Amino acid sequence: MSDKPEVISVLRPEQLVQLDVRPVLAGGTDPFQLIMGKISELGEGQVLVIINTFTPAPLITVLKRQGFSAYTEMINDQLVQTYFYKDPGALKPVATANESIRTHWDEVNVRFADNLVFVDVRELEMPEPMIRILAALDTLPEGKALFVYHKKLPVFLLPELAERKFDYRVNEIAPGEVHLLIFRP
Amino acid sequence: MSNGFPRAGFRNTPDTAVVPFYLYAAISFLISTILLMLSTESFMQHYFSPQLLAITHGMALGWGTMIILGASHQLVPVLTEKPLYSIKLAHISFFLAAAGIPLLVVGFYTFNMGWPAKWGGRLILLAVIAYLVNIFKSTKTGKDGNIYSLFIVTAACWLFITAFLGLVLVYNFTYPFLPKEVLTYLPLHAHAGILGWFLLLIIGVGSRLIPMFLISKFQDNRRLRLIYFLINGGLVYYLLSYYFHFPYPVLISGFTIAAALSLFIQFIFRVWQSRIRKKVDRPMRISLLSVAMMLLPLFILLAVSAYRISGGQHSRLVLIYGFLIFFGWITSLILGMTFKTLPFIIWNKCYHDKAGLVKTPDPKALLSDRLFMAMGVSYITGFLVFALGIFCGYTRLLQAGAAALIMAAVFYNLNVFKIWMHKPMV
Repeated sequence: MSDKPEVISVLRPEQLVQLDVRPVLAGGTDPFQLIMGKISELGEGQVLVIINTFTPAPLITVLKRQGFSAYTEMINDQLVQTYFYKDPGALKPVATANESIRTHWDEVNVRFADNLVFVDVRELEMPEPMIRILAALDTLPEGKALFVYHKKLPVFLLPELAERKFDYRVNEIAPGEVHLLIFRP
Repeated sequence: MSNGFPRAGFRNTPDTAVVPFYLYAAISFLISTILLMLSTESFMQHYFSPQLLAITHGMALGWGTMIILGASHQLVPVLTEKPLYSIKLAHISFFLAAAGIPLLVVGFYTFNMGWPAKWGGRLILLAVIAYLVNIFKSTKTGKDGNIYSLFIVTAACWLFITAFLGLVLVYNFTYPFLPKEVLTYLPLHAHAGILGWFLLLIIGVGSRLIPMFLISKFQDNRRLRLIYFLINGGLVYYLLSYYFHFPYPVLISGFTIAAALSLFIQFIFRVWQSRIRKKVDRPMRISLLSVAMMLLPLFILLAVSAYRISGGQHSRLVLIYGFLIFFGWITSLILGMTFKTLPFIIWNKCYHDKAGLVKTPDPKALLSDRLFMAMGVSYITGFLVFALGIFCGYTRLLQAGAAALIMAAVFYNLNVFKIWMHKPMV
């Protein structure tokens, strides 16, 4: 996984305009017009996030010609997020109360940048998420961190982490979208 | 949609729609054990007495129902993955029930079936309607075909039927309009509550929470559906037998309930066998004790119906039956489950925004282990001694048992209020 551009990793939720094109593609329609419509509506300092099952290479080429930078994040083999943004200068984070949370998060995120194991439990029913996470932790190689995509802060997991001597960081992107980094301190 | 996220946002229910129910229940439990101490004489007589009606309703409504209402406001959004339909309705049901329950209990205790009992009953019925609407709307918008939602909504309907029948019985004291005497209808009201409301809800919620707390993958929706039909079938058969005079109502519905219970206990046993968490904590152990305690009332029920058929006296058996259900099964479940849920609710309120940023305490550290131990020991002692007291008809045993139960309630309250008053340390 390539390094995440700094502008992307410090984005605030309100800067993100998400567009999930998976249902459109599943319905047999080309989402190109929809995407171009969204991108023309982008405000100052906003970023378009295309959620898809593959890297939209042609789209990246087209938008690069229009002056957009792109960053693709492979979450798993079924989920790819691509960020499109125009002027990195306009994306600079404004100081918020959340900033220190992000700093703490980024610190760890950077430390384990090339040593992350991903697990996505968002679609799973209780108690599957906990089982998956604990199973992943059992086999987590030394020096690696577990990156969890979750729907909420899993409070019942926290005592389990304490018991297994793991530390964690939380990044709450939005209600229903929580990222967790679990690592050995 | 400038910040439109594809996934519906999951939000926890605010603690104001949950915690007041917990605190109210804790106080009701304490008051009910004190009333128990004041009414030991009644346990030597017939079960239909003002004091026993007051204690039963303090336990069933103030303790059991209140905490379940609060907990389901928290739990339903977790099961349906949608926010609770209305926080306002949750608050309304709290205030209506909180006002109605003491009126009804005082009405019974002083045997004043005039305005206190009537207004108590009316307010409780309104609280139940507010809850029913809220839960129905919340599950309606959630995932379809969710067996747990089906259990919870059906249980809420039975709660409505129970409250409605109860109010009818209260009215019947002042305006006798029912064709037979009150005692004929009492088992119907009681079992709509015990089986329809408590049992259905506890099985629905427990079949989800127990695997979660023991960390087990075991699932068996077919078995749960079968349990659902057995309980409802047995209950409806019993209810309709009042009008259609079906043969052996108690025996037949007793057996369907027994079948449902053994299926559920097998379910929990499978969960236990396939659990990942080998070390089971104390609150969980006391909750599992409650699952085993489900069987005790069943034996008594079968004994009662055997006595009935032989025409014998069964008043004392009915007393034990009620005590095992409210002070045994339901109480042990709540004593355990409170400390598996409340610390996490308060932790979420205090530390949610700080989680992973600074060193936050372990949610489990919010409760006092020593208070929990003290509660557990006095509860089990009090329960056994009091049950023995009813069985032998010995007042001293009843008093000693009641004293131990008061102690258990005091320790429970101290722990609950300790958790509630927890101030963020960071």
